[in-house]
Amino acid sequence: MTVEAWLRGKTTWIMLGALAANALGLVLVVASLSMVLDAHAMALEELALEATAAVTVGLTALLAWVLRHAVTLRGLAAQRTDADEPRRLAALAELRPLGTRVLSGTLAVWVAAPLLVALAWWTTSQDGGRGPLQVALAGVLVGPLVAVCAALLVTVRVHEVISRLSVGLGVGAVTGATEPVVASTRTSIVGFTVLFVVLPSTLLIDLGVVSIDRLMDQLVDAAPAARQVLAASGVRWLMGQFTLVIAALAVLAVVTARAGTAVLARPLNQLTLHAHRVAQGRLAPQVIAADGEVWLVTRVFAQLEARLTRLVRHLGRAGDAVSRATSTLSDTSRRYEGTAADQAAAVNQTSATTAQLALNARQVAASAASVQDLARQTLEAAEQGRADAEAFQAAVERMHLDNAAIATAVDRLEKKVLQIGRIIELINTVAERSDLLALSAELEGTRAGEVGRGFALVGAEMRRLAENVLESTAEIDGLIGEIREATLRTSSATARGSTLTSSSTALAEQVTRSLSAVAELARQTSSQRRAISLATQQQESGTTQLSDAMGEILESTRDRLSLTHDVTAANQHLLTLAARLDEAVRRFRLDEPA
Amino acid sequence: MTLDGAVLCQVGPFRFALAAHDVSSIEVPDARGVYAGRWFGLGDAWPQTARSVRAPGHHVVVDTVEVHGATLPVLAMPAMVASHLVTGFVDVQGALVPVVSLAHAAERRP
Repeated sequence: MTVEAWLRGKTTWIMLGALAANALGLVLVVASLSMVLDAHAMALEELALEATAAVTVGLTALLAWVLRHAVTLRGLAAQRTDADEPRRLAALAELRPLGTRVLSGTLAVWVAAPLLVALAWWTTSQDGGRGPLQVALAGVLVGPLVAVCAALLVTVRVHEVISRLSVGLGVGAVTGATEPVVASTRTSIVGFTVLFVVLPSTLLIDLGVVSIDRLMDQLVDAAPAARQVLAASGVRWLMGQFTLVIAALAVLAVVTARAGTAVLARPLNQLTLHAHRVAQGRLAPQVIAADGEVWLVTRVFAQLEARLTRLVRHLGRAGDAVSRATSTLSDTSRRYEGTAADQAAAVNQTSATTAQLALNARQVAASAASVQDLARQTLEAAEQGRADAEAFQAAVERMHLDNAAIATAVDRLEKKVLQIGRIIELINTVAERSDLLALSAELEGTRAGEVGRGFALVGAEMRRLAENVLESTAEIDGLIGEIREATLRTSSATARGSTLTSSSTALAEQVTRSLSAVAELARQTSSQRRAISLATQQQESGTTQLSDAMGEILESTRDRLSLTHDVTAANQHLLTLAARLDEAVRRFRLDEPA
Repeated sequence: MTLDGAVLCQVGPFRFALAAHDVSSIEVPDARGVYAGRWFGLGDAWPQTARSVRAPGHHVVVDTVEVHGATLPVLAMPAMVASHLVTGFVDVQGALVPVVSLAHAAERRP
């Protein structure tokens, strides 16, 4: 069952004990007053009604006053609010003083109500006799008994509610929210004894004296013959009333004693059971509600159990952490052991390499000297090459200029050849026309017959001359073609030559730059050779020191390897201890609070 | 029968003769000229050195032209094959060359 469900309607349930105690007290008072009051002074029924009304009004006021200080608790009991942690702590704070408030309130009611009844009786009756005084005295004597009984009954239930509400809450929060009740157990028992010895005795003595006195008065006033019968009936009535009052007192005492015992013994029993569970290793911190010294004991025990729980949790986590760390450490040690062995082998290898490095350094020093000679020769060759390249570049540039002149001449020649060609063409045209003219003349001469024979002969001769001219111009034309072809080839050759000379110039410049760079590098090589020589000497010296240092590192590595073996053994032992710690922690079982 | 003066024309490998008195002039051919090579199945294209032989109302283009001024005997054609186109043959340096009438040749174009 959840806390919310359990709390339903528990406000009335808490206060039921107070109501029952007050009812019992009311019975006791009415029975007592019926023994001592004069029947004629005031009707008993009227008195009982007034007393009941006064007590009822007082109790109602008491109930309202108590519940006014328990707003959160009433909200939880009526299911109006959620039973979250702040509200539960507030309800706990409201519950703690509930018993004390019931005690003081009930006492006030039981003192005030009879006094009011007595005052009313005294003011309304001219001859009340001892009546008002008896009413006030009954209230004063019975009130403390009822108040203690009601307070204890309420406290028993308050303890139970506190135990329920504190489930799942932190011990510190619960103990902080609940104010300790400072009344000691001894004071309570002494007070209880005094109350239930002195007050009932006083009440009974008063009842006895007053009732016997009143019976004696009745016997004196009665006729002698009826005195025996009156005495017998009066004694029986008094005995009955005494029995009723004593029974009521006994019931009140027993109820109060049981409640007081419950207030004292129940927390102790719960504490015993809890301690038994703790002894079995089942840890579930819970605040056991109590008062006085018992409260101090249960609070300290709850705090102790909470601390023990935290300690066990810490131990468990620490054990796990130690186990993991030890495992990791063990693995690391094994790896480190392997690494150390590898390191020793590597150091051995490095030492050998260092010796080889020293040998190489000496060889490098020797090689550096030969590099110096090679660099000098290279420098000389580079300087010579650069001079040759520059001369070559000058020759190429001259060739380039000549080539350009040739190209110009060829161009001029080509133009002249074109002019000759046009002239030849003109001559050819003229020769053709001459040939045609000569042919026409020959024809005309022939047509003229014998007369034109000479003219025909002249035409024929002219025609041969023209044909010779045509043949010559044809030859010249062929020669011009050959010249033009040669010119074209020359022009193409000069163009290629110009391109080649340009490329040669660029190449010559490049060769010059390269040779200059080679010469510069050769100079740098010479200077760097000196630096290399110096560095080689330093390297040789450093290599020797390195070789010595490697020997020391090798020795140190062997020592570390031995230490690593020891660390591995220690880790193994630590692992065993961690397992034992874990086993010890596992004996405790962290239960959720019931 | 004789021929007083002849104009010997050559077209490709072929030769023919025109009577000198039939030829009015020899000129450079123009685009309207008719190539005589067509008569011999040589096509219409004439060489650059060709000559146009003109008669009144007719002309023909030939490769080369040669004027022969001497009087040449003409070998007559047999009657069964005689025509106005070829009037006979002349002996030029040992070779027989047909004598062609340019006016008839122009009329009978191929």
